[in-house]
Amino acid sequence: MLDPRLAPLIAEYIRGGEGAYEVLSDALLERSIEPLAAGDEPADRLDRVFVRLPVVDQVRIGSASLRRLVSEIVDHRVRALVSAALDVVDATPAGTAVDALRNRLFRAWQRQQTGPGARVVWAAWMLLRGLPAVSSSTSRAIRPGEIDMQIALVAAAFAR
Amino acid sequence: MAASKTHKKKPVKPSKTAKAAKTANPKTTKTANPKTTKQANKPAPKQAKTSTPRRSAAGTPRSPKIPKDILPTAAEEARFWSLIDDAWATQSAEVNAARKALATRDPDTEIDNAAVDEALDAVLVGLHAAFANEDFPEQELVAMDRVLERKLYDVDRADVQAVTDGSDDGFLYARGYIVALGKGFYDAVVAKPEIAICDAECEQMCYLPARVHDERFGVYPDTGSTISRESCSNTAGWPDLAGNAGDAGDD
Repeated sequence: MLDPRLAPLIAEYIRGGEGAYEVLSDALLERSIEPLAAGDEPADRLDRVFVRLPVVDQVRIGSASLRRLVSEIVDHRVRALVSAALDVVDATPAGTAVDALRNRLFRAWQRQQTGPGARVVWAAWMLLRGLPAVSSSTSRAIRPGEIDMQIALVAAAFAR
Repeated sequence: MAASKTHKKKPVKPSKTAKAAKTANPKTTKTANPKTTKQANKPAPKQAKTSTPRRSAAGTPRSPKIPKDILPTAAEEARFWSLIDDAWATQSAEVNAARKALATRDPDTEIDNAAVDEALDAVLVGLHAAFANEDFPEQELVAMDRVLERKLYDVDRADVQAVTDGSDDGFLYARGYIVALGKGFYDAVVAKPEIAICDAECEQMCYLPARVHDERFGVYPDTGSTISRESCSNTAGWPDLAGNAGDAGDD
């Protein structure tokens, strides 16, 4: 474990708290970790921390965020498909089962293409395509409030 | 149909002179319908020159900060092929079986690519929709174009052209067909050029991500590479043209 005390500093940095950037930079330098860049919007800072995480953590966070949005999917079969895909993603980050589900998700997205439900399917497809950052970004586009949950998860993962 | 096996042309090596003479502006020759794929309707899009300021859709200049000589990563290549695989997976099992059979067939046997060619347009529409989706990031779109460019470049070879036929743009579109059929077919042609199919072309594949980039962001992407997808750019693939290597990859 790196240092759990970093988690609130990371979260404050992403949210853009006053002086948070300087405090975090000092804390990271003390631990011989390259500081994060300042500026931009919270979503940009979130992405900046996100890409520093191991891929397995990125996928886990993307999946957790997406699970909260599955209810946006009206078609129950597609909802079941996305849930199954997230189960597989959480259990096995790669493999032929993921490939088959990825094929089916793209097909399901093609049938819809518009609306929040389609975006959830898209986000699941991106997750299985190995782009968890895109998946998480889409989740935030579907429901802007998701950023709070993602900040908490990203900060905790970074501090681990 | 996106691909054709129409008329048998006399084998002609792609003409570099003809390529150098082309001056078409992609902004003025672009086809309105991205589904249009025939050679007769060629839009000849070019990548943005590094000396040209990149502009956003709103017209704001962007600084060209992309470093040169960027190679596709293994992860990007995997995502590129998975995208094509997903698009093919929307087609019937019979079509996909026929597609796989093309990659594993005995090159001396008769070719049956009718079902595959018939499905190709729908596959390209699916790819276009994915690239055009607002949630598909620009950075990833450029990465996909970079992979495509490299894949086209790598099969820019005399031994492949000897099988596909096609001069200049025709051979480019033949390579587009090889990529459009997916990783299995592409790898098979790389290993054994006789697997390629004479006169089978797919122009639309050659610039699909680049065109979508232009549609979405108002500019053709700079892939950050120093290669060109135009025919005869890969001098290693054309040993007989080695003496003319100086003008390869200049557009």
